[in-house]
Amino acid sequence: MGNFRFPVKVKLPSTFLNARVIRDNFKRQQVAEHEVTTKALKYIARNTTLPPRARLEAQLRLSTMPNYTRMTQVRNRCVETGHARAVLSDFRLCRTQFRELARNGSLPGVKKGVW
Amino acid sequence: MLRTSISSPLRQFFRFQSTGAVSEATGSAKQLPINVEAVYHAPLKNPITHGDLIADVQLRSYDHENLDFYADFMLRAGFYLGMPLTGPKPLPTRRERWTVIRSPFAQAKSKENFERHTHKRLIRVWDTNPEVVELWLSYIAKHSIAGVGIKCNLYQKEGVKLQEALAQSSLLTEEHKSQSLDEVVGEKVLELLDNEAFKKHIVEKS
Repeated sequence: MGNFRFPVKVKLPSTFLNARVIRDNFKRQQVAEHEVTTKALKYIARNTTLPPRARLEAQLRLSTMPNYTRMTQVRNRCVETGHARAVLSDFRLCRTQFRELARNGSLPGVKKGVW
Repeated sequence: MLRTSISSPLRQFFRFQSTGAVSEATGSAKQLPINVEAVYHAPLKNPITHGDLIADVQLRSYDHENLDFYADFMLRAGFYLGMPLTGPKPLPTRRERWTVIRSPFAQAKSKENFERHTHKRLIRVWDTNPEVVELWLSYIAKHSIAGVGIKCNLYQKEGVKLQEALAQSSLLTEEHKSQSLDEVVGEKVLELLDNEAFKKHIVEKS
């Protein structure tokens, strides 16, 4: 692992990089990796036909899983600037970058809206 | 001065020649060849005889000029391959709109609107051999135009016993079966319940 700051070594994203972008990307990869386990544990924990102790065991396992394996921790970030607010999910860009690129003509088909 | 005096008659000469060639052709043969003449009219179409839908081709673009030109080209190419085609049927245009704040900071009352229109056209292929459709598609893909996307659905008729034949064929082995997320999760659930940490609770109960 060396001096890698996260508990698991993952790939870096190919976008604008700063600490928050890297952290978010780390979470995304970990969420994807643990998705099956999380869903299986949730299924067991919520299945009322199973014995309560087994369900409790599943719930305990879920709650001991680290935070970075939860989808709620993932936040959309701007690809160009890493900004986390006002990100347009169609382009993965924040509003300022979107406006700049759209006016520039770099986003295919996007024009000034007149209606 | 000299240049202009030389260039202007040259230009005239070329223009004369081009118009001369056309007039000469029309003069001698009275008319253009019929397939060339057809370019000036709406694309010709072969009649539908059996009504078997073979393929749906959907074209999409942010700009309708290239789209219409390309749809026209597809119809013409199809006609000379002897395919009955219908279309281009305009499908509803998708309009996406975004409103963003003009300024990077504050002044949130001043906004700017952007939009993107996705134009769509549908061309349907009837009563054609799959080989001809493939030929047509490859020809079209070869001469595709910038900024126009093609999506093609091919339809094929099979016998009633297709399911049995598929079950017996060696193509669908365990390796080739793709699993949905639910199936993978189901397997994981079984694996977890088989685990001794869970097993002891289940055995206690029963």
